[in-house]
Amino acid sequence: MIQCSQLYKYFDSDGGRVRAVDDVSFEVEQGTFFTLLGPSGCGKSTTLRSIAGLEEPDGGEIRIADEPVFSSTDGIAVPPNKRDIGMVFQSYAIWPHMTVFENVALPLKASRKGLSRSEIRERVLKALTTVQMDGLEDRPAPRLSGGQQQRLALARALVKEPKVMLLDEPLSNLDAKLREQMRLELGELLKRLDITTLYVTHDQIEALAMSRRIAVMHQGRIIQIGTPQEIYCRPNCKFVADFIGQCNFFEGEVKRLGQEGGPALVSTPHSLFSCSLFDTAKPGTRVLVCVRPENIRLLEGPSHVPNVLEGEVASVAFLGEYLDCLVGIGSDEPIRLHLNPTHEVRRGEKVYLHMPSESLCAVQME
Amino acid sequence: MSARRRDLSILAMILLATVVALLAVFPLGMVVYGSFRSAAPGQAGFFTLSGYQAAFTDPAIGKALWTTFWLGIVRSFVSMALAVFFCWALVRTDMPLKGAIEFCLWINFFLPILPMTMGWVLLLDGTYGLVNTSIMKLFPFVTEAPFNIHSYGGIIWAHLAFGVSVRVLMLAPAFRNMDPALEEAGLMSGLSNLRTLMQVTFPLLIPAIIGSTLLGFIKSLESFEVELLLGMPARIYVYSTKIYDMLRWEPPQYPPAMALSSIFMLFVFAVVFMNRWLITRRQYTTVSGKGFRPAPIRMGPWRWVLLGVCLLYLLIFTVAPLAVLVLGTFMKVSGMFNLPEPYTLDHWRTVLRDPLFFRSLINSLIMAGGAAAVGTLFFCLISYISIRTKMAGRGLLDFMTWLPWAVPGILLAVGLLWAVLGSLPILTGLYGTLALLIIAMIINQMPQGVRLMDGTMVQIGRELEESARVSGASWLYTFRKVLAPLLTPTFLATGIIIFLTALRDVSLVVLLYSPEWRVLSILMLEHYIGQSTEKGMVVGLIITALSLLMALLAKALGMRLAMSE
Repeated sequence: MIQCSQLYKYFDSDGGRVRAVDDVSFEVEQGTFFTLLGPSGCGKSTTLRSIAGLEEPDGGEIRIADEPVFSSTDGIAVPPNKRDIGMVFQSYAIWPHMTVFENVALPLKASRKGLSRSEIRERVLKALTTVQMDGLEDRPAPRLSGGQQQRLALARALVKEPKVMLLDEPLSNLDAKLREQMRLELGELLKRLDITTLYVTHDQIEALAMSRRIAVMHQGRIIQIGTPQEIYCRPNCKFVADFIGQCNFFEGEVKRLGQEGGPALVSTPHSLFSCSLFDTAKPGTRVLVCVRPENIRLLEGPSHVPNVLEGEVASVAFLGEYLDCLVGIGSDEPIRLHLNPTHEVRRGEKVYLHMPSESLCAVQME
Repeated sequence: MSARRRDLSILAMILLATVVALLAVFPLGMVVYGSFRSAAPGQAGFFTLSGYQAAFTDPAIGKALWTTFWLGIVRSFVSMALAVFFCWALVRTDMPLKGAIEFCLWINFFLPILPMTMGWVLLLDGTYGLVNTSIMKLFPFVTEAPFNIHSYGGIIWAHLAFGVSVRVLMLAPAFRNMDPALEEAGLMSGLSNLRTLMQVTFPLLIPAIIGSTLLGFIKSLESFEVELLLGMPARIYVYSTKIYDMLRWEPPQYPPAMALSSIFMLFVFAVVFMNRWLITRRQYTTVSGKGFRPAPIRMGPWRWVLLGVCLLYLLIFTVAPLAVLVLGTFMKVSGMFNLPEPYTLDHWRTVLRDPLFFRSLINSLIMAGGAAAVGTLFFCLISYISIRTKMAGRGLLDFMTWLPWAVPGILLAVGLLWAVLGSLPILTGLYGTLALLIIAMIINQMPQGVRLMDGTMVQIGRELEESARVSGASWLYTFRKVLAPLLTPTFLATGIIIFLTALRDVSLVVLLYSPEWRVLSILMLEHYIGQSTEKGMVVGLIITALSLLMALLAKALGMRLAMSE
C-alpha cells in the first residue's frame, strides 16, 4: 500500500549537510499496522512527512496504492492535498477557531467532491461516533480535554476514509494513564477499520503493543525491520537491543557455530555462553552477547554448565512489579536483572545467575 | 513541489524582494546619492562634496546634532525611570485601581503628540501660559514667569507622557514574567521588602531596562513635530528641524540638508547595530515561563500614596493639557482669560464650514485607510514567506524589512523626495499624490508591522496548516479557512496601528504633501503656525478624538498591544 524506495533527505546545519533520511526503503502492506520507531532526530518524522507530502525528499520514490506520489527521477511531486491520506499530528493541530463538527467537516468540504450538506453531516457524525465523540459536535474545539482532542484529530483523519493513515507520535502529549487507554483504543479501532497505518513513535512500548511490523531507525537509516517479537528477541545490533527494553552486554568471541539450528558457543571473560548467532558470524568473530534483565534467574548454588555467572549483589530496588538488582561481576559494569518481588536478596549477598540459552542472542560488535 | 511550481515560487520571491528593496533600500540609497549632488532633486546638477563641506563647517549643524543626542539621552532616562516606577506599582504592588491606571497609561499611547503639545503651550507659555499667569497672580512676589515651554526643558517635558506610556507597554511583560521565586528567596533570606526590591528585583530586570532604554533612545531621535513647535521659536534646532528648515529656505539648501541626512543615517545605523549586538549578548535568565502570578507586595498605607502619585501624574500629564486644549478651542484668543467675553464657538464654526477641512479629512482617511489595508496584506505576505516557507532569500527579505526601523520620518521623506523626483522620470508623477503618502506610511510601518505579523505567525503552529493540507485542502483554501481567521486579530491590530500612525504623522507628510492633497495633520500645522492657532487646535482636537475612537475600538476588539514603540 505504501512503498518507499531509496529515500534521501538532507538538511543544512551549522556543521554542513546532515542526512536526515538516508537510503530508506520499506513497504507497508494493505491493512498492516507499521511503525517507524527510533529516538528523536532519527529521521522517522521526516520520512512520514515525506509520505504525507509535507516535506520534499531529495531523492527516491514513494508510491501510495501503487500510484507514484513522489519520484525524483520522474519529477513527480503530488501536493499533500492530492494524496489519499489521513494524518494525525503530534500536537493534534485542531483548528481552534472551529467547532468539533467544523473541524471534521473541513476535509469533506475542501476536497470539493460535491457532497451535499446532509451527506457531509452524515459522514461527520459517523466519524465522530467511530471515535465516541458523538454529542460533542457543537463544542468549540479549544474546550476539549487532551483525550478528546486526540479523538477529534483521529475522526478528522478518518472522515475521508483514506487508503492510508499516518500518525505522528499521536499519544506523546497525553499523560501516562490516558496514553495507555488511548493506545488500546486506537489499536483496536484501526484494526477494526482494517486501514493501512504508518505510525511514528519513540516509545518502544507503543510500538511493541500496537504494530504488526516495526522498522527501527537510527541516524536517518532503517536498522532493522521485523515483527515486534523479532525486534525484541532477536535484535540485529547493539543499538536495537539497547534502544528497545533494557539489556546487558558481554563482549566475547565465537568459539563454535551452532549445529542444525542449535545454539552456538561464545566465550567471554566471565563465562562461556551458548546462544543464538547471526548468519555472517564465523569462529573468531568478535560479538556482543545480549541478555535482557528479565531473562536472568537465580540458581541455588554454583554450577559448571555454560551461561552461569557468579557475582555479588550491589544494589536492590523494590519497584513494585519486580526487584531491580544490580550484580557486580568484577571489573565490568554490573549486571541488571529483574526478579520476582517475592525474592529476598540482600546487598552483598553472593548469587549465581543463570541465563537460559534460548533467550540469549549475540550481535556484531561495532 | 514540481519543477514548474518551484520556478513560480522563485519568480514570486524575486518579485517580492524587488518590491521590498524598492521600498526599504532605494529611498535610503537616494539620501546618500542626493548628498553628493549640487542641486535639488530633478534639477540639473553635478557631483560635489560641497554639502559635506557645508555640513562640517557650519557650527549650527554640529550644534543641532549635539542637541538631538543629549535631548534624546535625557528624555530616555527620565521616561525610563518613571516607566520602571509605574510598572513596579502596576505589577508588583497591591495599589488600588490598578486596572484603571493601566488603562489611562495605555490611552496616553494613543494621544497624538502635537495637539497635546499645543495644550502644553497654553499652560506653560512664557508670557500667557495659564500656569505662569496663575502663579504670578497668586504669589505677587514672583515677578517673572517661572516656566517657559519654548526651551530645552519644555521639549523634554512635552515628550514625557507618550515616552512613559510606550516604555510601560514595553517593560510590563518583563515585570510580569519575572520568576517570583527569586523575590521570595530574597524575602526568605531575611531581606526587607525594600531591600528585596533594590537588591533582587531591579538588578534582575536591568537587562530588560537597558534594552528598552536603548530602543527608546533610538526612537527618540526620530521626533520632529514637538521640536518644530517648541524649538523653532526659541531657535533650538535638532537635526530633523534643521533639515526641514534648510529645505524651506528659498532656494532650498539641498546639499547641506542631504549631507546632514546621510551623516545622521550613519549615526542611527551605528547605534542600531550596537543595540542589536548588546541584545544578542544579553542573558534571559530572569524570565521564566511559569504560569503563576506572583502575589503582589503588601504596601499597607503606602498603597494610597502610590495611587496618589499615579493620579497626580495622570492629572498633570494627560488631563491638564487635554482640558486646556478643549477650553482653548472655545476661546476668542486661546489663553486670554481676561478678555471681556472670552468664549466663542467661532473657531469650530469656521473649521467645520471650511470645505478645505473636509477635503483634508477625506484625504487623511483615504491615506490612513489605504496604508492600513495595503500594509497589512503586504506585511502578512512577507511574514508568511519568512516564517512559513523555506524559500531561498527569505533571510534577506527579513533583513530588508528591518532597515526602515531606525530611519526617522524626515529622512525617509527626503529619500522618497529624491527617489521620486531625482531618479526615473516615470516616478515623477507620484510626487504630491496620496499614493506617495500611502507608500511612505507603509515603508515607515514595515518593521513594526512585519514583526507583529511574525509574532502571530510563529504562534499559529505549522501543523494547523499542514493538517488542512493533508485533509485535502488546497493552499488557498487553507489560507481562507485556517490561516486568515486565526490571523484576523493581528490583521486588525496592525491595521489600527498603521491607521493611527498615518493619521497623526507630520514628519513624513510635511515634505511630501502638495497643496491639493493636504491631510489633516498638515492642515493643523498650517493653521497653528499660520494665521490661527485656535483653528489649529480645533483640527488637533479632532485628530485626537479620532485617535481615541480607534483606541476604544481596539480595546473593544480585545487587542493586546505588544509594541516595540
